[in-house]
Amino acid sequence: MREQPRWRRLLRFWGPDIEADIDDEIRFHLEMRERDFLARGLPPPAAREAAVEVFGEPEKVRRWLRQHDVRQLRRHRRSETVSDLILDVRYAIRRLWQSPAFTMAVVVMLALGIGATTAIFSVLDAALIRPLPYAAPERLVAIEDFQGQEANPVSFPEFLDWRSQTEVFSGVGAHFQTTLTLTGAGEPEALRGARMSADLPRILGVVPRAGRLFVAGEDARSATRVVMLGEALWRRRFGANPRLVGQSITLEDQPYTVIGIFPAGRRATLPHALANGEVVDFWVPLRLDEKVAPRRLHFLTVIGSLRPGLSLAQARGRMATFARRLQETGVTRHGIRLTGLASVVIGDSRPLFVSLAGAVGMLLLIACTNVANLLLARAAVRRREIAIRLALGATRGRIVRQLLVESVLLAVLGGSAGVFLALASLAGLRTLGTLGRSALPRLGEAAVDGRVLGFALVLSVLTGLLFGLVPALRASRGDLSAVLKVGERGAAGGPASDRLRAGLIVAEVALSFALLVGAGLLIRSLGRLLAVDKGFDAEGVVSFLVDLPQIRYAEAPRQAAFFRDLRERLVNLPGVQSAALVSSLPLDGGANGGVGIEGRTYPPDAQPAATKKMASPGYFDVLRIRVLAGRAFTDADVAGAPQVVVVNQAFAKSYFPGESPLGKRVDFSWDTKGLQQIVGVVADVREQELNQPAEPTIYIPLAQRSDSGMYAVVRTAGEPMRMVPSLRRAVFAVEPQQAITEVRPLQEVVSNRLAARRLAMSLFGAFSAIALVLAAMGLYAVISYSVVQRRQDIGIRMALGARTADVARSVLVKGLVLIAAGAMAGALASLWLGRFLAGMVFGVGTVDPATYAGVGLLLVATSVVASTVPALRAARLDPARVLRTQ
Amino acid sequence: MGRNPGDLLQGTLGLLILKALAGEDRHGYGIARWIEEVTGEVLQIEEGSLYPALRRLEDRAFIESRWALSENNRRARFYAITPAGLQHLRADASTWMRFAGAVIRVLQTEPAVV
Repeated sequence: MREQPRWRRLLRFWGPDIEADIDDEIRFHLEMRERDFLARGLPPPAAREAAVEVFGEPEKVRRWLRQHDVRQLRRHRRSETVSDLILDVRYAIRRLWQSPAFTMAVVVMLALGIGATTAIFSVLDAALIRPLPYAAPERLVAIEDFQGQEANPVSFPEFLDWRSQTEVFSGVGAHFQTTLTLTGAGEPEALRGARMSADLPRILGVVPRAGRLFVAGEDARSATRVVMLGEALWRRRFGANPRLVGQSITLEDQPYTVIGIFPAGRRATLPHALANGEVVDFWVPLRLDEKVAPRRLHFLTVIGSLRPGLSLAQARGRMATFARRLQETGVTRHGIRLTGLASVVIGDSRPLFVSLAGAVGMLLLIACTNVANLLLARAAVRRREIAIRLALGATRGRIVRQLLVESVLLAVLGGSAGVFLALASLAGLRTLGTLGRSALPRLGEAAVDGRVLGFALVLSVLTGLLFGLVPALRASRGDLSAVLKVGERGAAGGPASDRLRAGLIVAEVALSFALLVGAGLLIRSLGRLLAVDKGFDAEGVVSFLVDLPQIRYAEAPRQAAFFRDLRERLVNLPGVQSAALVSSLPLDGGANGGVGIEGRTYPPDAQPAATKKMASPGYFDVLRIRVLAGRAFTDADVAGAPQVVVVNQAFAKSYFPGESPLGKRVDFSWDTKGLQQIVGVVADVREQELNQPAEPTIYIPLAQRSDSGMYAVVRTAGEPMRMVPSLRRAVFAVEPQQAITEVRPLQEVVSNRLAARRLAMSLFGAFSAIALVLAAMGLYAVISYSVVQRRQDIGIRMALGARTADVARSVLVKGLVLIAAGAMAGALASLWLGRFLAGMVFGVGTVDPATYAGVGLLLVATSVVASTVPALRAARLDPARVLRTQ
Repeated sequence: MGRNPGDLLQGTLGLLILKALAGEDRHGYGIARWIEEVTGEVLQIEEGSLYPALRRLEDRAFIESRWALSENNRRARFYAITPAGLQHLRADASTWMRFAGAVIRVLQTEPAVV
């Protein structure tokens, strides 16, 4: 047996030829056997036949072998690819291990980019992509009362009207938020909860944790009082006692039978609580009728479940027809609006989400650019190694694959670190986002789960390919002889590579510029908002809500008497400068409604309207709201005295332009009767949002039109929250067992209004700070690299008499040119990108010259800082040594 | 099939092949010839079935193959036993010997049948 000739093996270079091999093998066998038979004396045709007979069925054997061999070859090739990949990964790990500084730098950059993107994705995923956590969430709609351009809460009769539309809705439920005081078991505690129609839990698909849900009829006015408690309260307050169901507890001095426990999960979280993260401790049935809740009282939130098969558009059409019919029959003039529940929960946060997604995407791009730049530099250094491998017969594809494996490995490392970063930043975001009112809807649902991890993984791999492809293609495009000839000196990669790296820096700076402009605009907007004249002074004021039990304080005189007593006690507390009561806090809205003015008639669509608030004497004083004309309320404005009101400046300007409103009489139906005289005009207070001018507002003396729930505002001499225990004692002194809620500095009401903006600003600020650092790092790398690369030129120039200052300047200028080009591109991009922030800026245009200039200056400063070290290094070059190493 | 007593032993074809290769590397025809010679042509295998058996042994890494030139200068696929194959051969052979011994002892009991 000898080796077969080499040429036969060469023919099989591209893999075995299965067919020919099998034929050869069988033919060889048959011929050998035939020869044997011939040697034994058989005649040629018989010898051949005998050989075949002894063999069996050659065709069958051939077929079997072919099938087998093809299958084996495929299996073999697959395992070869996998083992090649394992080799590549091992090689890449070794290479990265050998340059820990490079690896760390890249992993940190990618971790920042991928981590931030993953965190934001988890928030977006929760808010925009994930369906609401209810049964059949796609069929749930918010049904609102709609007048003119405004959606309003719903009145009880409207809810009944809508619920009757059974060909549109398979169910309609209503609820509103309420507070009840729990007594009897330990400290009295004011619980936040909701009153709801009996079928609402079923519409949302709630499964009780224990006991049962409400049944039809339990929400009727005459029904006995029942309550469902939240799992959290049940554990906290009742030690998860399983026998609580069926027992009676005391809420607002009334016995309520606990019929069930609703679970702590998200499915039992009402939509408003999903949006703002509020805790709901109990559910009670509405127990309303049209007598106590007439058509003019708008306070319900209504959720409908569309009939299966009915589209939102169809439902809208039918409800529009229904609204027209109600208008024609004179039942109501109000319209009906249907909106998908998910988008109602998101509210007006969509622009915030879009801009956050854009910003974080830009940050990721910057990180990629930076890493690509580092890889280019590294590839330039490795050109020799790659050229040699190419010369030794490695294919270009093989080398590109190897380099890509390396960059994807880097990206996956960075991504893994990024996931931890995302976990940490999500926790941070939760703290930041839930100070007071939640700034981001459904933030509580955001989590780094399988989906988000999958996203991070895909993102990492794509990122790795994105930043790795160009450097890999470049590095493998080796002109071998050139590289080997010029050796280390030429390893830079030539002018084309320089241009590419400069281009990447310009892109990076441009992106940073845009991010910085975004952050700058938001910071300036917040500054403008904080500087807005709110019309009141919240500093040093503490506020809390006193909600009197409806049963014991059913009549207005009793309520008024309670609040008069309370105010007296509060004012006399040591450390209290002034105290007052008001029906709604500034920036917390208020009831809005039509107003009649004596001696005037208006067309129905131009009817004057105003926000109405009840206030005790001293209110304007506590909040330092200036009285511009007439007088404020006094203790003499009581129930029997002439009915008076105070209006704000916006009211005076809107309805009494050019004349004094003092002495004029107004008329509005809000449990008030007859005409009421305007006795004072006060300065405007922002009642809705800081960025919205004040609306016309009417203040009514508390003693003439009381309510069971009132906010106390107390101006204190020292730290407001220190007064809380004595405030609580003052309340107890008037009414033992009376809980107080929403205790907070008034300043917090103001900052809650800014929570979303603060969050956006902080995130943009963080993103742009990271971007700036990355850009500076990138610039530093490029400049110092070019210094190293040109050290011979520099050496020659210095030998020829160039001064060190000239050398340093030329390096600085190089950096500045790059920054300037990037800033230009960034400014152009920002002009276009600014529109996405249009809804979030206040008091500045999206093309704010001051912001642009500031960002430009910041970048120039950054460039100087980043180029200083390389410039100094260039200036300190010793020409003699440089030229010697030549 | 069913032409000769060799059929009884079809299941042990793998064992025979390994044994054939234990001494030296052979091509398929060589293996067939060796078995004929050693058994004095008592065991005549259907030669076509040799090749699937060889493939199965190769799949289990008991043998390996390569192309080389035969004694008469023809291109032929040669098979060689691997260390794993050798080990398998030893184990199988001793099982077989014990089994065959037992059968022989049974057949030699009275009344004699042979």
